[in-house]
Amino acid sequence: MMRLFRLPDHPVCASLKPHERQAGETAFAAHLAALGFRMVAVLAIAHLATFLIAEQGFAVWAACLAVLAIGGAAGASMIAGRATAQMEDAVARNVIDLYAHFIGRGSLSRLAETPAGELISQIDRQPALCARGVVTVPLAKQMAVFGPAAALVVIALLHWPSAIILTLAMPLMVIGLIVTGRLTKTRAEKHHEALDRLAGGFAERVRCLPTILSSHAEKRESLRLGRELSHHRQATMSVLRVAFLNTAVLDIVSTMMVAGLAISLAAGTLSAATLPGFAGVSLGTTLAILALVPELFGPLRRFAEIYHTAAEARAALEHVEPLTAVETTRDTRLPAERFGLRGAVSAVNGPYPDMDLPCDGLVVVVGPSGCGKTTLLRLLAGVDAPLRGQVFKPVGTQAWAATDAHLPGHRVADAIEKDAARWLDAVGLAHDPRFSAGGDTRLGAGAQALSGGQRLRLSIAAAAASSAETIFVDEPTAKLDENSAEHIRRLLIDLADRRLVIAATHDPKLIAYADLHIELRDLAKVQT
Amino acid sequence: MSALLSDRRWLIALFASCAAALSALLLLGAAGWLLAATAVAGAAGFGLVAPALLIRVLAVFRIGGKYTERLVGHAAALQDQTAHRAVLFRRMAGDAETARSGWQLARADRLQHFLTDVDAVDFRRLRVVLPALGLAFCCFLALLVTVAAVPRSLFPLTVLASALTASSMVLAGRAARRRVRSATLRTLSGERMGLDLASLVSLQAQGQRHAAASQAAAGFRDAEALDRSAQSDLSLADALLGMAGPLCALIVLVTGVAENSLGTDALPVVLTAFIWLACGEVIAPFAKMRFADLEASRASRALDRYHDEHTHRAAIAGGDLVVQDAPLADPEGQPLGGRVSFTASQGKPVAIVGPSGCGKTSLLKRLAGWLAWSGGDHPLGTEDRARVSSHLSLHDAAILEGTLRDNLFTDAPEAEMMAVLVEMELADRAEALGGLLGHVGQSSLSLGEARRVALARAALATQPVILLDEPGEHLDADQAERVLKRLLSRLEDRTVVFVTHDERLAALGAQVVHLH
Repeated sequence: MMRLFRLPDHPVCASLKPHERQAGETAFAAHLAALGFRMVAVLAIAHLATFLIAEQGFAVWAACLAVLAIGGAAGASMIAGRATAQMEDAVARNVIDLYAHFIGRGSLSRLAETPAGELISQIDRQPALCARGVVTVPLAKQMAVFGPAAALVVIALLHWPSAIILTLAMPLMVIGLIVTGRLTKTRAEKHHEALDRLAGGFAERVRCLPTILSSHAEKRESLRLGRELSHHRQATMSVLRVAFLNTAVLDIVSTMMVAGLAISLAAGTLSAATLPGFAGVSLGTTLAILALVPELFGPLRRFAEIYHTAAEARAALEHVEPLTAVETTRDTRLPAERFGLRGAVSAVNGPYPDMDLPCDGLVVVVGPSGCGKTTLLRLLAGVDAPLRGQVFKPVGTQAWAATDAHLPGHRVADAIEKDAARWLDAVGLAHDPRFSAGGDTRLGAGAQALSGGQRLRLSIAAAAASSAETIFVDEPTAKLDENSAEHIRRLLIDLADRRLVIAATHDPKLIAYADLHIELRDLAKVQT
Repeated sequence: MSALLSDRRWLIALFASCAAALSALLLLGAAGWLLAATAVAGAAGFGLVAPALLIRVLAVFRIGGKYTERLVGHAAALQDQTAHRAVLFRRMAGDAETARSGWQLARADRLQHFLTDVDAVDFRRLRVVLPALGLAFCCFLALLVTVAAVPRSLFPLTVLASALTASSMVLAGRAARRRVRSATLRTLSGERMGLDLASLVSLQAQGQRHAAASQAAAGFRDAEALDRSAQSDLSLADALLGMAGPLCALIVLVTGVAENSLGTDALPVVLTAFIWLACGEVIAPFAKMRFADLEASRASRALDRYHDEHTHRAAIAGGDLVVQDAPLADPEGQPLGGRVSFTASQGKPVAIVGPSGCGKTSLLKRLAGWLAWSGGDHPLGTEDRARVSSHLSLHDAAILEGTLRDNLFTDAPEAEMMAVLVEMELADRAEALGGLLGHVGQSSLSLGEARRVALARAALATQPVILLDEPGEHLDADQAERVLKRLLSRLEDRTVVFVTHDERLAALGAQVVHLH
């Protein structure tokens, strides 16, 4: 089958299902049908008017045809709208899936390069923009070619000299559009930097508002903002003055065509034709031509209107493209009888000593700051894959406790699977006034309002309450006062009875309790 | 609306818009009438010169009117934007809540939502009010002509207009409600995704990362689906409104027959029909205008939450800062158990040391008047007074996109600024950037440099009370000590309180207060 509508060749379209691709065809066909119906309606109305004047009667069939065509046009537009929305939804989903894949499986180091807010802002905005870029924009572009062509053909069938005049006007318009487009581009480039910088001024000050307040600079910044906004206004207007010439060209050509054709056709009717072929055209034909001319320019105007969207969409599509080839992280650890490392080299900290870890007990990773304790934990937990060498998996599930641990839900009991009160007590939070409601204590989303120490202790409680057989803890006592730290030490020792607890720590007391020390130095070796 | 009539630019834009619409209607109407009239008159002495001139004049008016409307309308809208943003910024700056809560708009996605709202309000007149008035004017004009030419068609036209208006209002309303739901969903999913992104390592270690990302993404998927439904609603409304022009023309012609206006009598009928046909173009965007209006109202309500509560009070003259047995509390005001007492005076800085979560930062913010003081009177009188009398150096102070000089927020002479930059060990960096006028931004400075810029702001501050939150953060221990020592000696004539977890820095204070 011949393809009516060609989807752009972009990865976000690659995984569309056949019926989703079909929606594009439907949308385009429906747009064409709507155009056809509109032209039929206009022709019928023109005929009706002619009949009224020339034959002094009522053309019932024309009236019926007009009603049907108007209804048909509305129906076809509706179908086009639905199909466009359906297809855009499919594309938007694909883009969201790309982001979900990036966040869910992409390499952690690449993810760390983009600030979280920036990434969320992208997943919020890019899908819809990309969808418009591959559906609405090409549809409008295609209609801007087919629409005027179809209208011209119909006009040519009615009265070919008018069609020739309209055709001759087209290159003039295209030249006009190119010239004004160039002018706009030059202007925009001239003001580019000013526009970019000034447009962000408001957003930037809102972002930094607390800092501005803390320095008592609100008045100063308010004045500067006012100045920047008015510069921005001037720069924008300077660009708009030429940018609007673009639409003005369309207006000039379409308006002048209506006016010129009306006068020429009228002159022809009065046998005062100045142009060949314009003599004695029937009223029905002249009215029909007059009513059809707007159809000729409508699709062009619609395409010009989405020019800005098209530019944004193009940028979004370019932005999203690298996501289709995201490097993913996999848990490369192999199942084995013993949990441990063989010849593992980390991308960050270099080679690690070989080690075999027990099924239970307290293992401490010690060494000076920056020697790679957390990196070792990440290697063992399968968060990072080693550059070379092998990591062997522990048996059963694992938990990770740290200040940046994931604490799901809004209440303590959501984060701690069972016996919330017991585990709160075990980490020394039971008597903290902040946790007076026990398991019902509200945390707010992600426990963001808690201090680092509180989050750390809560995450240790969550790990303890879980069924995880291996527990990784990063600096379990670092941010705690001595009393709380003692609670944590005792809990970790208890847990190590039946499970394996691996802690990166500086705490000499915790180190003293450990069953196994992994000491990391320049030439690290395992000491038992 | 009233502002639209009192502002010169808006008046010109409105006038141009009406002139353009009027000429567009009359152009098509007059052209139709001319063709019909010449057909009726035949070759028998019809003066073509005057009507042809009229048509040409209308064409020029339409083109000129449209261009003027766009240009002046945008100029006026940009002026609206300038005024609105300036007022909004002042309101936000004056709102006590801005200081009280953790600042939400520092994160890109939240800022983006906020800016979408601001934009909707900025351009409400351009996108809604001006086209709505143009639409009303056109319909009024077409109705006038109809009353004169085909009065009997008024009733069916009114029925059609009511049906189309009602259905497009309903559809636009539904689309707007869907948009509200999608926006809520986007915010929630964004928050959720933010939390996931903050704890990717633990999610990965527990094998939950992919599931968590998929769940957060599902929210965005649902939001997209809602947005597409809203888009479908609007395109349905567009399809219905697209019928308006041809249907009105048809109604006029049919009623013309019913009124027995045939032959030459039918000329005014044809004129009216063509005017309605031209009106279709102005009526078509009605549903989109209504939708934009609903969005702007919602956005405007969202932005109304910022109130300028700023009261102008004089700063204290300086002197001791006496804190007597003040209870420690978390940022929400929940007591944390401990109590604290100290006296800071000029040249005798107080260092507050304690583990994370003991309420150090909150104490500093309460001293600065940013959070409510609990337990008796504020040591500086009132929170308002405290705010004007103190400089609070936040540990996460932001760098504003702009010059280094702009970032120091000071009127001090250049030599003093340079001296402070030297003391804060920023002189080399400043030179590399191109001096005080070098461009800086959040991403172009390292965390340590940003921290030292914030300390430079404190050094140049003029308030009598200076409060420093973690002055050594992101600096290595030796540099932190050097820099803080110089800062404290520069601030010898001020009352300084600083919070740290580093005993070595605390030792620089005249008094060290330990919190537990």
